[in-house]
Amino acid sequence: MTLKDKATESLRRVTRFTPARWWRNAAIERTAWTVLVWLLFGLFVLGPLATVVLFSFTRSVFQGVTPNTLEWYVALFTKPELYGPLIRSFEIALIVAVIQLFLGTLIAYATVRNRIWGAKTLDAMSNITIALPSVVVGLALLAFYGAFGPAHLLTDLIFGNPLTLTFTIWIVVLAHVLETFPYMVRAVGAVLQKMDPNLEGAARSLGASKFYVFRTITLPQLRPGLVAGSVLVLSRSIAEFGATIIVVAAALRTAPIKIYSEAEAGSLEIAAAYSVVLMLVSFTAYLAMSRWLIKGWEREHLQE
Amino acid sequence: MTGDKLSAALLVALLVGATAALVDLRATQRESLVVYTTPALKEVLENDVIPRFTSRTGIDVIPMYIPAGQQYNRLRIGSRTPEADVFLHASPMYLEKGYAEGRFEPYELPRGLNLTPEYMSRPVEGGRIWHAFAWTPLVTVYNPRFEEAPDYATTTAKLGLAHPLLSNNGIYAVVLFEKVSREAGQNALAHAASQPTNARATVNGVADGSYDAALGYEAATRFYQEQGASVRDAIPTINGTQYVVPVLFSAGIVKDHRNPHAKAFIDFLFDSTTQFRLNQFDLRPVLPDYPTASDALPVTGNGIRQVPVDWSRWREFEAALPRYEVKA
Repeated sequence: MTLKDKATESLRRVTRFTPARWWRNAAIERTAWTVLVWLLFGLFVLGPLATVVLFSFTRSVFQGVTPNTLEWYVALFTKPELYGPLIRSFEIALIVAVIQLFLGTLIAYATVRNRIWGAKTLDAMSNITIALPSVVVGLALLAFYGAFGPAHLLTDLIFGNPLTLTFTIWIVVLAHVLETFPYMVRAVGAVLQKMDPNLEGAARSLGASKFYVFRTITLPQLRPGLVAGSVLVLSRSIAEFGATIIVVAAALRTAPIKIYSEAEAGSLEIAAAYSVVLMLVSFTAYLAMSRWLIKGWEREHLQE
Repeated sequence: MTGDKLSAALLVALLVGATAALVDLRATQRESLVVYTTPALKEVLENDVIPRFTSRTGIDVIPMYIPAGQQYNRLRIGSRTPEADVFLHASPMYLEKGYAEGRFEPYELPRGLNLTPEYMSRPVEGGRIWHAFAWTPLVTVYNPRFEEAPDYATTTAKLGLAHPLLSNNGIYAVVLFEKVSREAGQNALAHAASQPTNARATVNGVADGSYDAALGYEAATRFYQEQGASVRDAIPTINGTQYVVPVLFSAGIVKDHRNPHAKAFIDFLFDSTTQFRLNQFDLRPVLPDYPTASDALPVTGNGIRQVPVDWSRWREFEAALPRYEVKA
């Protein structure tokens, strides 16, 4: 190719250039999409979270957002009025997770295996608390179990001793159970649907009792569902706010409510430190349990 | 450890943990003294009163900071099993109302306290309904870009007017306008950009530029100034005259309360150390001869007028409150 030919070819390439052709270049297109998506994600998701982290290391946001102190974290872990609600959150989440292991599994088993009348309806209705605003759930509990509700009136009528759950630990646990049980039902139900019911049938035909079949065949296979469900329940319970703020007693305030009240009281920095700790706890629990336990189970069973 | 054994161990650990958690939660609730209070008292309670009270008596005190109106509703919801032992808020209105509705019980302070009548309720059978342990003046908090605080009769500035049905701060704003000038109140309402629900949120709105000025508390303003917020305060002006409305931080004992140490906690608020240290938190003591902060606004002289408030006439104030709610 002569120099003239090369020049002509270059000129032709340049004149062929159009934005549409340039855009069709796969590498450029990918880069552009990457920038756009990360920019949007950064702006709407990571940006606000990163700002909370910055606030948590700032002495006073009114003096400018400059990360220059650890005093809010020190206060968080040394003052009982600050670390108390964090402990309350874990305690309540733990109780709720244990209840869900039984209640959620029972509902999932009954609906997926079609063991009760109205299983399909129950299955559809088990999502109801996801659809409802959580503040409505709180109000419903207060209405039903409060001093003016049917539980109060009925127990007064029957036992002569009215039952009022208002501002007790039980109503908080109930609120969290209602808010979280769809997560356990869905997680366990998904695993149950993939399980081959013939395995259980075969064991039963060989003379195994129902309990033995459940313990040795069903339960081990449910493990990833139970773990995933528990992680979701724990995370959701630790983060629960809407229903809790209506029913919770002062002594049982949880971490999200403490964050709200600190922000309301003008202590944005300590509310931010609190939020960072809560974020870390949630992410760590989620990653550790889902990666380690579920992957571990998969490895174990794939090797088998 | 095999998967099954690990699962069993985890399950047992969960069960044990949940049981321990339940025991701890119940104990916490049973043994704590619950104080319904205002964010305006957060610093003095958490950094002085509660730690000293707990170290002296061994009793855990749990303060709950939400707007007075909401807390009063929680008392009503709790009915005969209230969760709160002490109601400690910035005005005696809910205490007077609650007494009329049978939700508070009267009490007497220890003998020998030289408390003047403006800091306590009228006498009733069994003592008095409430006693104020500290006070702070209602002030105009404003953005320093204004040379002086606005006059509510003529201002066109964007205002924050605390919610009258939820916040005691809002109640004091209503008291000022009802007792001095309803026209100024209507002008302020016409320029209200927001209705915050507590005294700190009111000041915060000026600090973050949401509005130009607001009626807040001197103590809450100092809290923000100490954090570096750019806000100023002045005694409120209406038609060229400054008016002092005293914000009374008043304590009442909830009827049928569970914790037997509620009265001891209130007595502690009048303890000489508490009264002596109030100025460190920009609050003013109610007992004579205790110091006031050096940067406190002057509340007498130079034509400043006092607005006396008879809280036993709380029904008149309550009837006026809805008129100061910004309607959508």
